[in-house]
This record gives sequence, structure tokens and C-alpha cells, in this order.
Amino acid sequence: MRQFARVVGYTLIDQMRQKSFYVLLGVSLLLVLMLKSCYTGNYSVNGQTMDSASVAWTASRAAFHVIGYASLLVGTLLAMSILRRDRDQGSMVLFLSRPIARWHYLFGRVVGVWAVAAGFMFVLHAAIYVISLVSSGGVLPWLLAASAVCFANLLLATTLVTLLSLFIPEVMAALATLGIVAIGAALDGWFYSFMQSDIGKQALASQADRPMPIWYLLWPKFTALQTFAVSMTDKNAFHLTSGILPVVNTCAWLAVLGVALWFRFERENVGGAE
Amino acid sequence: MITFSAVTKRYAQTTAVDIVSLTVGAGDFLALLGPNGAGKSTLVKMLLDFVKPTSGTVTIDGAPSTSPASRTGVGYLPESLRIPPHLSGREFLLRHASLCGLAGPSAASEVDRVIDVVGMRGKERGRAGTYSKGMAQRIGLGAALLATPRLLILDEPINGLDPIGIREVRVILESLRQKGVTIILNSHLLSEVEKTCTTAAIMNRGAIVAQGSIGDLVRDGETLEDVFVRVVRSDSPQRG
Repeated sequence: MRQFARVVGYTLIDQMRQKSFYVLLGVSLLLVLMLKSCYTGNYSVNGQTMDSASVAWTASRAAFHVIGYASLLVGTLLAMSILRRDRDQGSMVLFLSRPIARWHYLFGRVVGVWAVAAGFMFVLHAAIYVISLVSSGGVLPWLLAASAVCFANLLLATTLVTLLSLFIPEVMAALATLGIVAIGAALDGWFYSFMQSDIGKQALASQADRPMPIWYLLWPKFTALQTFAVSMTDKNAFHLTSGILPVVNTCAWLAVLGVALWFRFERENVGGAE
Repeated sequence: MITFSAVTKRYAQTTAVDIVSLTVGAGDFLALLGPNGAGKSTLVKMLLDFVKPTSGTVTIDGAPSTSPASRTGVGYLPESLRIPPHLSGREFLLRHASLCGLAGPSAASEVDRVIDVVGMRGKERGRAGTYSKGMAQRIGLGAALLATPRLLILDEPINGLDPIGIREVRVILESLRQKGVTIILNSHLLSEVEKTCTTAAIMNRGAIVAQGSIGDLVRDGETLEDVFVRVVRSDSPQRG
């Protein structure tokens, strides 16, 4: 495990040395800081004055989602070329010529990239937390815990794109991963909206005895997990049972993709052709 | 020390290594020779578990090459070495020292030792992106020499080196050979091979077509190059 930890550490250091990472983080923080202005505005809807703190907290939850998706993009872009770059730079053969198991190297790289993306996301989510604390004196409860729940999404995305990059060009792997996220977002977003409508509620009642389609249950639940995480910040919206499907789905996909990635990489020829 | 037992590697339409059996004893200094595409690099890759053999087994001191433990005490210098450009030579060596199991002051002192051995003192803190090919090659050799390996595998080690560097590498390898380190050298510079190696195995089209001590292979009045050309040419029509 020491070798695994070393590879994670080297990956973190190498990624954190990229100036572009800090530029992206800085720009993102500036955008998040704009939320502060939401706390000082005056809002009214249909003539009724809205509590600015409530509006700001709603905007903060929306920003939470945006940061979650942006972090998925960052994680996917970082992970898509990690193995190809190692192969091209000769780092892969140098690592694997040492007494290090292939899976230590492989998952060390994946976890290192995941940690960078998770750190990026957590810093931005923490900025929301601090802004709400400073601007309104109150906090969005459980927001940092919700951010931690979304770490699973990032790990799933980095594992998926790394696995796909072993079969198809890395750009295609990244697009495929983001496509899966987007389709899931559309499905879960559409499904949620539909279920809130009168027609949807009637349909739900009439279909109570019929199981959900298998393909819907199996589709990776990036958005559903993120929605469940956000619900943790609003006690009125939080239902523990609503998290069962996305959590189980995400853990199952992590297990399946992790095993597939290990299996494929164990048989990978490294070091180029003769 | 190293045993290749009837090792074969096939890719789709090509047989890169064709039922090769070879034993390298402890302390041997073996040159692995052959024309391009002969299977030399594939054989080395199977030794380091970069490539899985289609059949046969490879062992290092009795341990299967697929086991990470078999690579304890193994130093490897690849042909096309590229050090991550954002790392300094010293940082690169420290990483490899820790992967060898060294830590803290012992890693630092071992890195300092190999920096002096490969002649990179004063240049080790520069970014690898600023290194010449020869400087990068010296750092790569230094990484292979960390933790005093018992087995050294070198693929074109004098690539990019000037004549002084070539001589320095020759001296380093000779001193390692005298200490009993087993060395496998893959090189096209047969004049250097003839000066440094004790044994040679010549491969052609995936098979070993000649092997033995340099003294036995090279007849009177011949050079190793003459032997190479003679053996390879005589092999080509026979195994058509």
C-alpha cells in the first residue's frame, strides 16, 4: 500500500504543479464570490417581498449543482490523458520496472486525479459555505457533507474515463463519459420534474405496482446522487430513502468499473511495440 | 539468475519471440543483439512483465517475473527515456529512490551518490525540460543504479552520450560487473559491446540464433560485427 500512496502523492504533486489548475480555480472562486451580492438584494415575486437570505440560499444550492457538474468536467479532462501521457513520457515503464504492482500504479493515478478534482470541488463548495456564513450569519447545514457525498460522482467519472481511454481515443472517452452524465441529468431531471406535475403524480399512483424500467435503474445516477446531496442542506427536502437508489447504483458502478479497469490493465502491454 | 523457458510472444499476425530458452547466470554481462524487429525488446519487456508471454515462463532468481517482488533490486534504463519536464533530475531520482524502498536521509544520500557516479553534480536541480539528451540519459542511468541493483537492464545506454560519457558508462558497467551485478545490455553499437560484455545472444526473427561467450563467438580475425552479419544472414533463408 505504500507504493500506492506514493503514486497518489506523485500524481497530486504533478497535477498541482500545473499553472492552469490555479488559473481555473481562481476564476471559479471569483464566479462563486458573486453569490455574495445575492444576500444584499431586494426580491419580490407577485408583489410579495422575498426573504433575501432564502433567495440567496436557493441560489447557493443552484451554484452547488453547477460546481458539481463543472468538477465532473474537470475530473474527466484530467483523467482522460493520464495513462496516455505516462505512456508517451515513459513514466509508465519506469514505474512498472520497480517492485510495484500494476494495480498500485493504476489506482494510484486514478485516485490522485480524483483527489485533485475533489479538492477543486470542495474548495468551491466551501466558498459557498463561507459566503453564507459571512453574509447572513447563518450556514447552509450539511453543505460540506453534501460536497463529500459528491466525491463518489467524481471517482466514478475518473474511473470510467480511465477505463474507456484503454479502448478508445481519450477525447472519445471523455465525450462518452460526459455524454453518460448528460443523459443521466436529462433522465433524472426530466423524471423529477414529471413526478412533481399533476400528471406525473397520477401516473405514479396508477403505476404503483409496476417496477421501474431496468435501464433506468442501471443508468449511472450522477445527477440523482448530486440532487440527494443537495437535499441534505434543506431539512424539508431531505428524505433518506431517496438516496438509496443513487448511492447503491454509484457504489455498484464503482465496483464493476474498478474490477473491469484492473482486469484490463493487468493484461495491457506497456512499453510500446518491438 | 534469469531463466526464459520456451517463451513465445505472438501478436495477431506476428510472432515476436519464438520459443526462446535462455539462462543468464548471476554476474553475467550479456549483450542481447539482433537486427531491428528481432525480438530483443520484447524479450526484455517479458522479463519486466511489461508484456505477458503467450506461452512459457520467465523467472528472476526463481520468482516469476509477473510478481512485483521479482523486480526488487532491478534497475532498468529504457531506450527512449523521457523524464517529466517539470521535475528536476534530483526530484526524479528521489521518486525512484522511494519506489525502491528508500526513504528520508538514506534516499537523499543514495541519490547524491548516483548523481556523482553519473557525473551530474551541479546540474541535478535544473528542470529536466532543460536537459540535453545526454544529461537526461545520465539521470536515467542514475535511476537504474539506485539501491545498488543486483540486475541491471540497459536498452541503448550510451544513446546521446559524447565520447567521454561513453567511456564513463563503460567504466561504471565494468565496476558493477566486478561487483557481481548481472547486466543485460541491448545495444546496436557492437564495438562497445565487444569491449564491455562477456557473453552475447544474437536474435533474429524472434529466435536466438547464436549465443555464448564473446571469445567463443568471435573467431580470429573477426569482429563482433562480422559475427552478427554472418549469423543473421545465414539464418534468414533457413527459417523461411
